[in-house]
Amino acid sequence: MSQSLEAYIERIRTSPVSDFYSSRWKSITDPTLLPTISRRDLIETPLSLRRYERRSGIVKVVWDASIPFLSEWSFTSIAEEELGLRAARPLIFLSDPHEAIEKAMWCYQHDMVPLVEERSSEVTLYAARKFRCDALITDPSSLPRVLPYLKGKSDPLSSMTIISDSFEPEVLLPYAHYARKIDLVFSFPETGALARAVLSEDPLFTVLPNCIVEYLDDYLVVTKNAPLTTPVIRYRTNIPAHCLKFSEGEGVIRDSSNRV
Amino acid sequence: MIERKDFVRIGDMTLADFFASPLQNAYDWVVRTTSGTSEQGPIVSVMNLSSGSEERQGWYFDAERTIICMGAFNSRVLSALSLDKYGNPYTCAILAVDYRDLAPELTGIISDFAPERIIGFPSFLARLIPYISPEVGSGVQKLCLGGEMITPVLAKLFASSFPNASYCLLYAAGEIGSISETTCTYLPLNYYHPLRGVTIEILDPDETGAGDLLVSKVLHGGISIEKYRIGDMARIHKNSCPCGYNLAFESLGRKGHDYIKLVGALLLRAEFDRVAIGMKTLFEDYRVEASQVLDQRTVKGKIHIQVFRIGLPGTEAFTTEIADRFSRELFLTPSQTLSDLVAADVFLPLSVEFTNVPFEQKHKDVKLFLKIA
Ligand SMILES: [Zn+2]
Repeated sequence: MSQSLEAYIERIRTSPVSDFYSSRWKSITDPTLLPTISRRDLIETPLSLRRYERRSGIVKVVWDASIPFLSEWSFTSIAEEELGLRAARPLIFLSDPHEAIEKAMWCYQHDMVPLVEERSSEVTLYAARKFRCDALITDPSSLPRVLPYLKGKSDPLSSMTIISDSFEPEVLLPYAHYARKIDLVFSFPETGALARAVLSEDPLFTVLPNCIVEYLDDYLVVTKNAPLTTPVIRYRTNIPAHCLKFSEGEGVIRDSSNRV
Repeated sequence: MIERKDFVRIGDMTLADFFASPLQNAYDWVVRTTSGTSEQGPIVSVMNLSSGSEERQGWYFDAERTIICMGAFNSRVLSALSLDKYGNPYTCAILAVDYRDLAPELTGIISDFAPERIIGFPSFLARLIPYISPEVGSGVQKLCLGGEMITPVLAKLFASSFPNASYCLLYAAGEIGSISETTCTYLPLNYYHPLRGVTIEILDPDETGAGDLLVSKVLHGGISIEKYRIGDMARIHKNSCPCGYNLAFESLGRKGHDYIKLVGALLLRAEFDRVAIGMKTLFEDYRVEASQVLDQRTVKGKIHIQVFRIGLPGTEAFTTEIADRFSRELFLTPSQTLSDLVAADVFLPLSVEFTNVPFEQKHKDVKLFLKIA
């Protein structure tokens, strides 16, 4: 683990604002041995007790769990997310209404004017034609709703970003010719983007800068070395390790359980 | 005079203007889409925020923990942009509630968020209130509302749910933006001073001065709209106000041209006509009166239909049959009939009344009427 991650962890440990992590870490100082946290910890701790900084931003309700919880993202942190999309007028079709607003703000921060799906996707696709949307931010379950727009376009989109925590390439590949470039972004609402792959039959994910993906007891554990409002340090996901294929290199730790 | 249907063309003009000029700053632009409500298609336009939106600062300036309750995503995006621009840079946090969030667990979520301000539509806020605990409600300092009338039923509900909140109201329409200044504390509820640069007129006022509100305003790119019939009724008051303005208008709400929005449902004139035509052997003409009623802390919709028939008086079996058929056949959302919404406790059961006196043709052909009191 890099020096800066250790410094970041030390800052969180000594934070006067929240003891969410330090109360769980207790006296453990080795960053590789810190106990993991999970959605259960986020559900059980009110947002006000796990917020490490105060900067303006968006608070999302994460329903994708047994019990919903809040996740707060500062505008600065949203801007630093790597979604790999460069366009002028992206169309945003996401099944999660909170993600849709957050991604719209991300577009503005990257000098793009987005169009977000309304309750009627028919009206939205009509608007997308008028606004000449040239890119797409979506998730696997929303993609079929965009199909009428993709089919009606004479030329492919400049790029498409598909955000999810799991991907079925065989379901997504039929969309391949609708965009010049299709990126899969491995992400959770509460962690943001963690890794990215080009859509293919067997996508190979590259862990994004400042992110760490560990294989621990056959599950993926993720860390973000970035000053987030609600930091992500050794966050245990419910994604089995074999579900995503990662390229070798920085940010991937193959078997954390052997390190003890 | 410009009608809503003309706005499709005006929307296209704003788009052409957007495409013609190089993008200086994305933050200055928001795409607005308004779903088509009846005959005409959706309106798509681009709104420029670099000018003419400063009046909204009253809603966003210094905002801290803010709930946005707006149905349209483009309105949520506009609010998020404005909060990013004007809100407190250290403590402004935005929670944009969606209809899909309205579940029992939301109460705990909102308590955790602890809002200081709520920005949005009165009807959406009314639906959100059952999920706001009294303690959280007491902590809300400011209600920034617009887009719809605050009916006496809503005013009562808001006063009891947010005892410490002050109002900051704005009269606005998605397709042209703000029409009024934010609330003047000297004016009663639903009275507004027109925004500087906006001209308002009343078309064919009746003896009380009430009639269709016409709005003239210059949009960005020099596109001006003249005498736009926005679809609401209003009255003009030319008394001088202690704040310095000598002109105000009183919004009387939508008096039913094509549709009425009520408790999240859409009452379409064309849909009532469709169902009524199927019963043309039973009655000649009808009028619909919709209203809100307060049931504990929940606002429910109520529909009362008067049917006119020449000759024989209507029996109870006759009104019951009409009520049954309207309830079963009338769609108030894309997938739900009035019966469904009665079963879901959103609407009270329909009431039908028989009359053998033909309806007055006062406001041309107004069949849908929103009763305010
Ligand atoms: Zn005044």
